[in-house]
Amino acid sequence: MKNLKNVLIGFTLLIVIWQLIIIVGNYEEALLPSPLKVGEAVLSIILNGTFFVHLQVSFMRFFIGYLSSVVIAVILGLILGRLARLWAIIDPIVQVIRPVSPIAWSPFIVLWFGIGDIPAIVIIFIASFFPVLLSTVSAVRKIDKTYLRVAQNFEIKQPQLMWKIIFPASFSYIANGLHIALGAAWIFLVAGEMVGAQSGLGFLIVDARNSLRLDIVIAGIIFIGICGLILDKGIKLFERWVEKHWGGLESSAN
Amino acid sequence: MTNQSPIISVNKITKTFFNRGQPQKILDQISFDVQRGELISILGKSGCGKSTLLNLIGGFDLEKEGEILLDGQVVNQPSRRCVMLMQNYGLLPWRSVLKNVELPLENTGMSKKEIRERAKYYLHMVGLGDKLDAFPKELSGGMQQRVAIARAFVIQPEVILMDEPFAALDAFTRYYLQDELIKIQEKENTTILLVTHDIDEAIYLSNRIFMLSANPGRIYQELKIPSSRPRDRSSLQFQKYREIIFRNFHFNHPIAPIELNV
Repeated sequence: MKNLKNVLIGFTLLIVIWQLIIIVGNYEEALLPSPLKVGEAVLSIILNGTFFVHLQVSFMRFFIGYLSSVVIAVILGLILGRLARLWAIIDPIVQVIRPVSPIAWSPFIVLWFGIGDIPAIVIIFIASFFPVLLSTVSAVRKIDKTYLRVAQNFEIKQPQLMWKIIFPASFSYIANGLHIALGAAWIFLVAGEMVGAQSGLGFLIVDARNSLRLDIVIAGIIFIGICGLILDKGIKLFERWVEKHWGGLESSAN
Repeated sequence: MTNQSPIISVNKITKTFFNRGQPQKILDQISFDVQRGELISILGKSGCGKSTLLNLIGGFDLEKEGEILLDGQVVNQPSRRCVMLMQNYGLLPWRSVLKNVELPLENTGMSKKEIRERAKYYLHMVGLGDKLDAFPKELSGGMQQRVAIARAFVIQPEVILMDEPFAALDAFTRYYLQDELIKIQEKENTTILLVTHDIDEAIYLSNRIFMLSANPGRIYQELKIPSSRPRDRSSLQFQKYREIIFRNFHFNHPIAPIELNV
Protein backbone atom coordinates (compact mmCIF):
# COMPACT_ATOMS: atom_id res chain seq x y z
CA MET A 1 0.00 0.00 0.00
CA LYS A 2 2.77 2.38 0.98
CA ASN A 3 4.60 1.17 -2.09
CA LEU A 4 1.66 2.09 -4.29
CA LYS A 5 1.59 5.53 -2.70
CA ASN A 6 5.23 6.09 -3.57
CA VAL A 7 4.62 4.98 -7.12
CA LEU A 8 1.72 7.41 -7.42
CA ILE A 9 3.74 10.28 -5.95
CA GLY A 10 6.66 9.55 -8.27
CA PHE A 11 4.61 9.47 -11.43
CA THR A 12 2.51 12.47 -10.49
CA LEU A 13 5.74 14.42 -9.98
CA LEU A 14 7.07 13.22 -13.30
CA ILE A 15 3.93 14.32 -15.12
CA VAL A 16 3.88 17.69 -13.36
CA ILE A 17 7.51 18.39 -14.25
CA TRP A 18 6.88 17.27 -17.82
CA GLN A 19 3.92 19.64 -18.13
CA LEU A 20 5.88 22.46 -16.50
CA ILE A 21 8.69 22.07 -18.99
CA ILE A 22 6.20 22.44 -21.81
CA ILE A 23 4.61 25.50 -20.24
CA VAL A 24 7.87 27.21 -19.33
CA GLY A 25 9.66 26.36 -22.57
CA ASN A 26 6.57 26.95 -24.64
CA TYR A 27 7.37 23.91 -26.78
CA GLU A 28 5.12 22.84 -29.59
CA GLU A 29 3.30 19.53 -29.48
CA ALA A 30 5.34 18.41 -32.49
CA LEU A 31 8.53 18.77 -30.44
CA LEU A 32 7.42 17.47 -27.06
CA PRO A 33 3.88 16.18 -26.73
CA SER A 34 2.03 17.02 -23.56
CA PRO A 35 1.05 14.36 -21.02
CA LEU A 36 -2.56 14.78 -21.98
CA LYS A 37 -1.83 14.20 -25.65
CA VAL A 38 0.21 11.12 -24.80
CA GLY A 39 -2.61 9.88 -22.58
CA GLU A 40 -4.95 10.18 -25.49
CA ALA A 41 -2.50 8.33 -27.72
CA VAL A 42 -2.17 5.55 -25.15
CA LEU A 43 -5.94 5.18 -25.02
CA SER A 44 -6.35 5.33 -28.78
CA ILE A 45 -3.80 2.60 -29.58
CA ILE A 46 -5.33 0.42 -26.88
CA LEU A 47 -8.87 1.02 -28.08
CA ASN A 48 -8.24 0.55 -31.79
CA GLY A 49 -6.32 -2.63 -31.07
CA THR A 50 -2.99 -1.67 -32.73
CA PHE A 51 -1.19 -1.98 -29.40
CA PHE A 52 -2.27 -5.58 -28.89
CA VAL A 53 -1.38 -6.56 -32.44
CA HIS A 54 2.14 -5.20 -32.02
CA LEU A 55 2.47 -6.54 -28.48
CA GLN A 56 1.56 -10.02 -29.59
CA VAL A 57 4.10 -9.98 -32.41
CA SER A 58 6.78 -8.59 -30.12
CA PHE A 59 6.14 -11.18 -27.42
CA MET A 60 6.20 -13.96 -29.96
CA ARG A 61 9.59 -12.82 -31.30
CA PHE A 62 10.87 -12.16 -27.83
CA PHE A 63 10.04 -15.61 -26.50
CA ILE A 64 11.27 -17.45 -29.57
CA GLY A 65 14.55 -15.54 -29.49
CA TYR A 66 14.99 -15.67 -25.75
CA LEU A 67 13.98 -19.28 -25.17
CA SER A 68 15.98 -20.71 -28.06
CA SER A 69 18.96 -18.71 -26.92
CA VAL A 70 18.57 -19.88 -23.33
CA VAL A 71 18.26 -23.55 -24.29
CA ILE A 72 21.31 -23.47 -26.54
CA ALA A 73 23.40 -21.32 -24.18
CA VAL A 74 22.61 -23.52 -21.17
CA ILE A 75 23.42 -26.75 -23.00
CA LEU A 76 26.64 -25.29 -24.40
CA GLY A 77 27.49 -23.81 -21.01
CA LEU A 78 27.00 -27.14 -19.25
CA ILE A 79 29.32 -28.85 -21.71
CA LEU A 80 31.95 -26.10 -21.87
CA GLY A 81 31.92 -25.73 -18.09
CA ARG A 82 33.09 -29.34 -17.83
CA LEU A 83 35.76 -29.02 -20.54
CA ALA A 84 38.23 -26.65 -18.93
CA ARG A 85 40.79 -27.00 -21.72
CA LEU A 86 38.30 -26.18 -24.49
CA TRP A 87 36.80 -23.30 -22.51
CA ALA A 88 40.24 -21.79 -22.05
CA ILE A 89 40.42 -21.54 -25.84
CA ILE A 90 36.86 -20.34 -26.41
CA ASP A 91 36.69 -17.88 -23.52
CA PRO A 92 38.90 -15.19 -25.14
CA ILE A 93 36.76 -15.30 -28.29
CA VAL A 94 33.60 -14.94 -26.22
CA GLN A 95 35.12 -12.05 -24.31
CA VAL A 96 35.74 -10.19 -27.58
CA ILE A 97 32.33 -10.87 -29.11
CA ARG A 98 30.31 -10.32 -25.95
CA PRO A 99 30.75 -6.52 -25.61
CA VAL A 100 29.62 -5.97 -29.21
CA SER A 101 26.05 -4.71 -29.33
CA PRO A 102 23.85 -7.19 -31.21
CA ILE A 103 22.76 -4.25 -33.36
CA ALA A 104 26.25 -4.08 -34.82
CA TRP A 105 25.51 -7.40 -36.51
CA SER A 106 22.37 -6.01 -38.13
CA PRO A 107 23.84 -5.51 -41.63
CA PHE A 108 24.71 -9.20 -41.72
CA ILE A 109 21.49 -10.22 -40.09
CA VAL A 110 19.40 -8.41 -42.69
CA LEU A 111 21.65 -9.70 -45.45
CA TRP A 112 21.34 -13.30 -44.30
CA PHE A 113 17.85 -13.42 -42.89
CA GLY A 114 16.05 -10.73 -44.86
CA ILE A 115 13.33 -8.76 -43.18
CA GLY A 116 10.37 -9.90 -41.12
CA ASP A 117 10.43 -11.76 -37.81
CA ILE A 118 13.86 -13.34 -38.10
CA PRO A 119 16.16 -10.29 -37.70
CA ALA A 120 14.50 -9.29 -34.43
CA ILE A 121 14.62 -12.88 -33.19
CA VAL A 122 18.31 -13.18 -34.06
CA ILE A 123 19.14 -9.94 -32.28
CA ILE A 124 17.26 -11.04 -29.17
CA PHE A 125 19.03 -14.38 -29.44
CA ILE A 126 22.46 -12.73 -29.47
CA ALA A 127 21.53 -10.33 -26.66
CA SER A 128 20.54 -13.13 -24.29
CA PHE A 129 23.10 -15.68 -25.41
CA PHE A 130 26.25 -14.44 -23.69
CA PRO A 131 24.90 -13.67 -20.22
CA VAL A 132 23.38 -17.15 -20.07
CA LEU A 133 26.41 -18.89 -21.51
CA LEU A 134 28.83 -17.16 -19.16
CA SER A 135 26.75 -17.66 -16.04
CA THR A 136 26.21 -21.34 -16.90
CA VAL A 137 29.90 -21.98 -17.49
CA SER A 138 30.89 -20.30 -14.25
CA ALA A 139 28.10 -22.08 -12.37
CA VAL A 140 29.31 -25.44 -13.59
CA ARG A 141 32.91 -24.64 -12.74
CA LYS A 142 31.94 -23.52 -9.24
CA ILE A 143 29.82 -26.58 -8.52
CA ASP A 144 30.31 -28.03 -5.03
CA LYS A 145 32.78 -30.91 -5.32
CA THR A 146 30.78 -32.91 -2.79
CA TYR A 147 28.04 -33.48 -5.35
CA LEU A 148 30.55 -34.75 -7.88
CA ARG A 149 32.03 -37.10 -5.31
CA VAL A 150 28.58 -38.45 -4.46
CA ALA A 151 27.97 -39.03 -8.17
CA GLN A 152 31.33 -40.75 -8.55
CA ASN A 153 30.63 -42.90 -5.56
CA PHE A 154 27.28 -44.07 -6.90
CA GLU A 155 28.82 -44.51 -10.35
CA ILE A 156 26.50 -41.99 -11.99
CA LYS A 157 27.91 -41.47 -15.46
CA GLN A 158 27.08 -39.14 -18.34
CA PRO A 159 24.48 -38.22 -19.45
CA GLN A 160 22.79 -38.81 -16.09
CA LEU A 161 25.59 -36.95 -14.35
CA MET A 162 24.68 -33.87 -16.36
CA TRP A 163 20.97 -33.75 -15.74
CA LYS A 164 20.78 -35.36 -12.34
CA ILE A 165 23.71 -33.64 -10.67
CA ILE A 166 25.47 -30.88 -12.60
CA PHE A 167 22.44 -29.09 -14.02
CA PRO A 168 20.42 -28.95 -10.79
CA ALA A 169 23.51 -28.16 -8.73
CA SER A 170 24.29 -25.14 -10.86
CA PHE A 171 20.71 -24.13 -11.49
CA SER A 172 20.43 -21.33 -8.98
CA TYR A 173 23.39 -19.53 -10.59
CA ILE A 174 22.03 -20.23 -14.05
CA ALA A 175 18.69 -18.68 -13.03
CA ASN A 176 20.61 -15.54 -12.17
CA GLY A 177 21.99 -15.44 -15.71
CA LEU A 178 18.49 -16.00 -17.09
CA HIS A 179 17.37 -12.89 -15.24
CA ILE A 180 20.15 -10.70 -16.60
CA ALA A 181 19.59 -12.06 -20.10
CA LEU A 182 15.88 -11.36 -19.94
CA GLY A 183 16.50 -7.68 -19.28
CA ALA A 184 19.12 -7.43 -22.02
CA ALA A 185 16.91 -9.25 -24.52
CA TRP A 186 13.97 -6.96 -23.83
CA ILE A 187 16.11 -3.87 -24.37
CA PHE A 188 17.27 -5.18 -27.72
CA LEU A 189 13.80 -6.23 -28.79
CA VAL A 190 12.94 -2.65 -29.70
CA ALA A 191 16.23 -2.15 -31.50
CA GLY A 192 15.74 -5.43 -33.31
CA GLU A 193 12.30 -4.42 -34.49
CA MET A 194 13.64 -1.16 -35.84
CA VAL A 195 15.77 -3.23 -38.20
CA GLY A 196 13.62 -4.35 -41.06
CA ALA A 197 10.49 -5.35 -39.19
CA GLN A 198 7.00 -4.33 -40.24
CA SER A 199 5.30 -4.91 -36.90
CA GLY A 200 6.00 -5.06 -33.17
CA LEU A 201 6.50 -2.45 -30.46
CA GLY A 202 9.79 -1.30 -31.98
CA PHE A 203 8.13 -0.85 -35.35
CA LEU A 204 5.28 1.02 -33.68
CA ILE A 205 7.80 3.61 -32.57
CA VAL A 206 9.60 3.85 -35.91
CA ASP A 207 6.31 4.05 -37.74
CA ALA A 208 4.99 6.78 -35.43
CA ARG A 209 8.20 8.74 -35.89
CA ASN A 210 7.90 8.49 -39.66
CA SER A 211 4.43 9.98 -39.48
CA LEU A 212 5.60 12.53 -36.91
CA ARG A 213 3.30 11.20 -34.16
CA LEU A 214 5.57 11.80 -31.21
CA ASP A 215 2.67 11.24 -28.80
CA ILE A 216 2.47 7.66 -30.05
CA VAL A 217 6.26 7.33 -29.76
CA ILE A 218 6.03 8.17 -26.07
CA ALA A 219 3.01 5.89 -25.66
CA GLY A 220 5.11 3.09 -27.20
CA ILE A 221 7.97 3.86 -24.81
CA ILE A 222 5.60 3.67 -21.86
CA PHE A 223 4.27 0.30 -22.99
CA ILE A 224 7.75 -1.12 -23.54
CA GLY A 225 8.75 0.00 -20.07
CA ILE A 226 5.70 -1.53 -18.43
CA CYS A 227 6.06 -4.83 -20.28
CA GLY A 228 9.74 -5.00 -19.33
CA LEU A 229 8.80 -4.42 -15.73
CA ILE A 230 6.20 -7.18 -15.85
CA LEU A 231 8.72 -9.60 -17.37
CA ASP A 232 11.22 -8.71 -14.68
CA LYS A 233 8.65 -9.34 -11.94
CA GLY A 234 7.77 -12.62 -13.60
CA ILE A 235 11.31 -13.91 -13.62
CA LYS A 236 11.77 -12.76 -10.04
CA LEU A 237 8.87 -15.00 -9.06
CA PHE A 238 10.52 -17.78 -11.04
CA GLU A 239 13.79 -17.19 -9.17
CA ARG A 240 12.02 -17.35 -5.85
CA TRP A 241 10.47 -20.63 -6.89
CA VAL A 242 13.90 -21.91 -7.91
CA GLU A 243 15.37 -20.87 -4.61
CA LYS A 244 12.63 -22.72 -2.78
CA HIS A 245 13.07 -25.93 -4.73
CA TRP A 246 16.77 -25.87 -5.46
CA GLY A 247 17.96 -24.18 -2.31
CA GLY A 248 19.45 -20.70 -2.26
CA LEU A 249 22.83 -19.84 -3.70
CA GLU A 250 24.48 -20.73 -0.40
CA SER A 251 22.85 -24.14 -0.23
CA SER A 252 26.15 -25.88 -0.83
CA ALA A 253 27.55 -24.56 2.43
CA ASN A 254 27.66 -26.88 5.37
CA MET B 1 37.76 -65.77 -2.86
CA THR B 2 36.45 -67.12 0.36
CA ASN B 3 34.71 -65.09 2.97
CA GLN B 4 37.77 -65.44 5.13
CA SER B 5 39.82 -63.07 2.98
CA PRO B 6 39.88 -59.47 4.19
CA ILE B 7 37.38 -57.14 2.55
CA ILE B 8 39.85 -54.28 2.67
CA SER B 9 43.55 -54.70 2.52
CA VAL B 10 45.81 -51.69 2.88
CA ASN B 11 49.43 -52.39 1.99
CA LYS B 12 52.21 -49.97 2.84
CA ILE B 13 50.41 -46.80 1.88
CA THR B 14 52.52 -43.68 1.81
CA LYS B 15 51.06 -40.35 0.81
CA THR B 16 53.16 -37.28 0.20
CA PHE B 17 51.83 -33.77 -0.31
CA PHE B 18 53.93 -30.99 -1.73
CA ASN B 19 53.79 -27.82 0.24
CA ARG B 20 55.54 -25.04 -1.74
CA GLY B 21 57.70 -27.65 -3.37
CA GLN B 22 58.60 -29.22 -0.05
CA PRO B 23 57.56 -32.86 0.18
CA GLN B 24 55.58 -33.58 3.29
CA LYS B 25 54.71 -37.10 4.26
CA ILE B 26 51.11 -37.24 5.41
CA LEU B 27 50.80 -40.98 5.67
CA ASP B 28 53.76 -43.27 6.19
CA GLN B 29 53.71 -46.99 5.49
CA ILE B 30 50.18 -47.66 6.63
CA SER B 31 49.15 -51.30 6.50
CA PHE B 32 46.12 -53.08 7.86
CA ASP B 33 43.41 -55.54 6.93
CA VAL B 34 39.72 -55.23 7.63
CA GLN B 35 37.58 -58.34 7.91
CA ARG B 36 34.01 -58.54 6.69
CA GLY B 37 31.44 -57.16 9.09
CA GLU B 38 33.99 -55.38 11.26
CA LEU B 39 33.64 -51.83 12.48
CA ILE B 40 37.02 -50.18 12.57
CA SER B 41 37.80 -46.73 13.89
CA ILE B 42 40.80 -44.75 12.86
CA LEU B 43 41.47 -42.41 15.74
CA GLY B 44 43.73 -39.42 15.61
CA LYS B 45 43.84 -35.71 16.09
CA SER B 46 42.98 -33.36 13.25
CA GLY B 47 45.60 -33.02 10.59
CA CYS B 48 47.02 -36.50 11.02
CA GLY B 49 45.82 -37.65 7.62
CA LYS B 50 42.72 -39.57 8.66
CA SER B 51 40.52 -38.12 5.94
CA THR B 52 43.30 -38.52 3.39
CA LEU B 53 43.49 -42.20 4.24
CA LEU B 54 39.73 -42.58 3.85
CA ASN B 55 39.81 -40.82 0.48
CA LEU B 56 42.51 -43.20 -0.69
CA ILE B 57 40.54 -46.25 0.42
CA GLY B 58 37.40 -44.91 -1.24
CA GLY B 59 39.29 -44.42 -4.51
CA PHE B 60 38.64 -40.67 -4.56
CA ASP B 61 42.34 -39.98 -4.43
CA LEU B 62 44.61 -42.30 -6.38
CA GLU B 63 48.00 -40.66 -5.95
CA LYS B 64 49.91 -42.71 -3.44
CA GLU B 65 52.56 -45.31 -2.94
CA GLY B 66 51.42 -48.75 -1.96
CA GLU B 67 48.32 -50.70 -2.75
CA ILE B 68 44.73 -50.85 -1.56
CA LEU B 69 42.55 -53.86 -2.27
CA LEU B 70 38.79 -54.04 -1.98
CA ASP B 71 37.76 -57.65 -1.88
CA GLY B 72 41.01 -58.64 -3.55
CA GLN B 73 40.78 -56.07 -6.34
CA VAL B 74 42.93 -52.99 -6.65
CA VAL B 75 40.97 -49.82 -5.92
CA ASN B 76 41.42 -47.47 -8.87
CA GLN B 77 38.17 -45.51 -8.75
CA PRO B 78 35.25 -44.93 -6.38
CA SER B 79 32.65 -47.66 -6.52
CA ARG B 80 29.19 -48.43 -5.26
CA ARG B 81 30.61 -51.32 -3.28
CA CYS B 82 32.34 -48.88 -0.98
CA VAL B 83 30.23 -45.87 -0.08
CA MET B 84 31.68 -42.78 1.52
CA LEU B 85 29.62 -40.83 4.01
CA MET B 86 30.69 -37.22 3.64
CA GLN B 87 31.38 -34.92 6.55
CA ASN B 88 28.75 -32.45 5.31
CA TYR B 89 26.38 -35.32 4.47
CA GLY B 90 26.51 -34.72 0.70
CA LEU B 91 22.75 -34.62 0.28
CA LEU B 92 21.37 -33.05 -2.88
CA PRO B 93 19.36 -30.01 -1.74
CA TRP B 94 17.12 -30.04 -4.80
CA ARG B 95 15.87 -33.54 -4.08
CA SER B 96 13.44 -34.57 -1.38
CA VAL B 97 14.58 -36.97 1.32
CA LEU B 98 13.04 -39.92 -0.49
CA LYS B 99 14.55 -38.85 -3.82
CA ASN B 100 17.95 -38.51 -2.21
CA VAL B 101 17.82 -42.07 -0.99
CA GLU B 102 16.53 -43.28 -4.34
CA LEU B 103 19.44 -41.67 -6.19
CA PRO B 104 21.94 -44.53 -5.97
CA LEU B 105 19.31 -47.08 -7.03
CA GLU B 106 18.21 -45.19 -10.12
CA ASN B 107 20.66 -46.66 -12.59
CA THR B 108 20.56 -50.21 -11.33
CA GLY B 109 17.80 -51.52 -13.57
CA MET B 110 15.38 -51.90 -10.66
CA SER B 111 11.77 -50.95 -11.30
CA LYS B 112 10.49 -47.61 -10.02
CA LYS B 113 8.28 -49.39 -7.53
CA GLU B 114 11.09 -51.52 -6.15
CA ILE B 115 13.31 -48.46 -5.85
CA ARG B 116 10.64 -46.56 -3.94
CA GLU B 117 9.95 -49.43 -1.57
CA ARG B 118 13.58 -50.05 -0.87
CA ALA B 119 14.27 -46.36 -0.22
CA LYS B 120 11.26 -46.16 2.09
CA TYR B 121 12.37 -49.28 3.94
CA TYR B 122 15.76 -47.77 4.75
CA LEU B 123 14.28 -44.41 5.66
CA HIS B 124 11.94 -46.15 8.08
CA MET B 125 14.94 -47.98 9.45
CA VAL B 126 16.65 -44.70 10.35
CA GLY B 127 13.38 -43.36 11.78
CA LEU B 128 12.56 -40.89 9.02
CA GLY B 129 9.47 -42.62 7.65
CA ASP B 130 7.48 -39.43 8.18
CA LYS B 131 9.93 -37.10 6.42
CA LEU B 132 9.92 -38.62 2.95
CA ASP B 133 8.82 -35.48 1.15
CA ALA B 134 10.85 -33.00 3.18
CA PHE B 135 13.85 -31.28 1.66
CA PRO B 136 17.26 -31.64 3.30
CA LYS B 137 17.51 -28.02 4.44
CA GLU B 138 14.24 -28.42 6.35
CA LEU B 139 15.88 -31.08 8.50
CA SER B 140 18.21 -30.82 11.48
CA GLY B 141 21.82 -31.90 11.11
CA GLY B 142 21.10 -35.19 12.83
CA MET B 143 18.23 -35.94 10.50
CA GLN B 144 20.33 -35.05 7.48
CA GLN B 145 22.97 -37.47 8.65
CA ARG B 146 20.30 -40.17 9.01
CA VAL B 147 19.22 -39.54 5.42
CA ALA B 148 22.84 -39.91 4.35
CA ILE B 149 23.11 -43.14 6.33
CA ALA B 150 19.95 -44.50 4.70
CA ARG B 151 21.33 -43.51 1.30
CA ALA B 152 24.58 -45.33 2.01
CA PHE B 153 22.91 -48.53 3.22
CA VAL B 154 20.22 -48.59 0.53
CA ILE B 155 22.53 -50.05 -2.11
CA GLN B 156 23.79 -52.60 0.40
CA PRO B 157 27.45 -51.85 -0.12
CA GLU B 158 30.11 -54.12 1.28
CA VAL B 159 31.89 -51.24 2.95
CA ILE B 160 30.84 -47.85 4.25
CA LEU B 161 33.49 -45.24 4.93
CA MET B 162 32.57 -42.53 7.39
CA ASP B 163 34.47 -39.29 7.74
CA GLU B 164 33.75 -37.98 11.24
CA PRO B 165 30.09 -38.76 10.74
CA PHE B 166 28.79 -37.37 14.01
CA ALA B 167 31.26 -34.58 14.66
CA ALA B 168 28.84 -31.76 13.89
CA LEU B 169 26.04 -33.09 16.09
CA ASP B 170 25.18 -32.41 19.70
CA ALA B 171 25.98 -35.12 22.24
CA PHE B 172 22.45 -36.49 22.61
CA THR B 173 21.90 -36.80 18.88
CA ARG B 174 25.35 -38.30 18.53
CA TYR B 175 24.69 -41.02 21.12
CA TYR B 176 21.35 -41.79 19.56
CA LEU B 177 22.79 -42.08 16.07
CA GLN B 178 25.68 -44.22 17.27
CA ASP B 179 23.16 -46.72 18.63
CA GLU B 180 21.22 -46.60 15.40
CA LEU B 181 24.37 -47.20 13.41
CA ILE B 182 25.26 -50.29 15.43
CA LYS B 183 21.76 -51.68 15.00
CA ILE B 184 21.70 -51.19 11.25
CA GLN B 185 25.22 -52.44 10.83
CA GLU B 186 24.49 -55.67 12.70
CA LYS B 187 21.36 -56.18 10.69
CA GLU B 188 23.03 -55.56 7.35
CA ASN B 189 26.42 -56.97 8.28
CA THR B 190 28.17 -54.10 6.55
CA THR B 191 31.84 -53.43 7.09
CA ILE B 192 32.38 -49.92 8.41
CA LEU B 193 35.56 -47.94 8.49
CA LEU B 194 35.16 -44.79 10.50
CA VAL B 195 37.46 -41.88 11.03
CA THR B 196 37.05 -39.91 14.23
CA HIS B 197 38.77 -37.79 16.82
CA ASP B 198 36.19 -38.72 19.41
CA ILE B 199 37.72 -41.29 21.73
CA ASP B 200 34.42 -42.37 23.29
CA GLU B 201 32.87 -42.81 19.89
CA ALA B 202 35.72 -45.06 18.82
CA ILE B 203 35.44 -47.23 21.94
CA TYR B 204 31.67 -47.37 21.83
CA LEU B 205 31.40 -48.45 18.21
CA SER B 206 34.49 -50.33 17.19
CA ASN B 207 35.71 -53.89 17.06
CA ARG B 208 39.18 -52.51 16.60
CA ILE B 209 40.71 -49.05 16.89
CA PHE B 210 43.76 -47.91 14.95
CA MET B 211 45.51 -45.02 16.55
CA LEU B 212 47.12 -42.70 14.08
CA SER B 213 49.97 -40.38 14.93
CA ALA B 214 50.54 -37.12 13.09
CA ASN B 215 53.54 -35.96 11.04
CA PRO B 216 53.85 -38.37 9.44
CA GLY B 217 50.66 -40.38 9.94
CA ARG B 218 51.50 -43.80 11.23
CA ILE B 219 49.43 -46.45 12.92
CA TYR B 220 51.28 -46.84 16.16
CA GLN B 221 48.79 -48.86 18.09
CA GLU B 222 45.94 -51.23 17.44
CA LEU B 223 43.39 -51.77 20.15
CA LYS B 224 40.99 -54.70 20.06
CA ILE B 225 37.68 -54.26 21.85
CA PRO B 226 36.20 -57.70 22.08
CA SER B 227 33.20 -56.97 24.31
CA SER B 228 29.79 -57.22 22.71
CA ARG B 229 27.79 -54.16 21.70
CA PRO B 230 25.90 -52.14 22.78
CA ARG B 231 28.41 -51.15 25.39
CA ASP B 232 27.99 -49.33 28.63
CA ARG B 233 29.69 -45.97 28.34
CA SER B 234 30.05 -45.73 32.11
CA SER B 235 31.34 -49.23 32.76
CA LEU B 236 34.74 -49.91 34.25
CA GLN B 237 35.82 -51.74 31.18
CA PHE B 238 34.97 -48.73 29.04
CA GLN B 239 37.08 -46.56 31.34
CA LYS B 240 39.92 -49.00 30.99
CA TYR B 241 39.97 -48.58 27.24
CA ARG B 242 39.82 -44.84 27.57
CA GLU B 243 42.77 -44.96 29.86
CA ILE B 244 44.75 -47.02 27.38
CA ILE B 245 44.02 -44.55 24.64
CA PHE B 246 44.77 -41.50 26.76
CA ARG B 247 48.04 -43.04 27.81
CA ASN B 248 48.89 -43.68 24.19
CA PHE B 249 48.24 -40.18 23.09
CA HIS B 250 50.11 -38.95 26.10
CA PHE B 251 53.15 -40.93 25.01
CA ASN B 252 53.03 -39.27 21.68
CA HIS B 253 52.44 -35.77 22.89
CA PRO B 254 54.06 -35.53 26.31
CA ILE B 255 53.42 -31.82 26.74
CA ALA B 256 49.77 -31.78 25.86
CA PRO B 257 47.51 -31.83 28.91
CA ILE B 258 44.99 -34.60 28.97
CA GLU B 259 41.47 -33.46 28.50
CA LEU B 260 38.74 -35.78 29.59
CA ASN B 261 35.55 -35.12 27.86
CA VAL B 262 32.55 -37.28 28.48
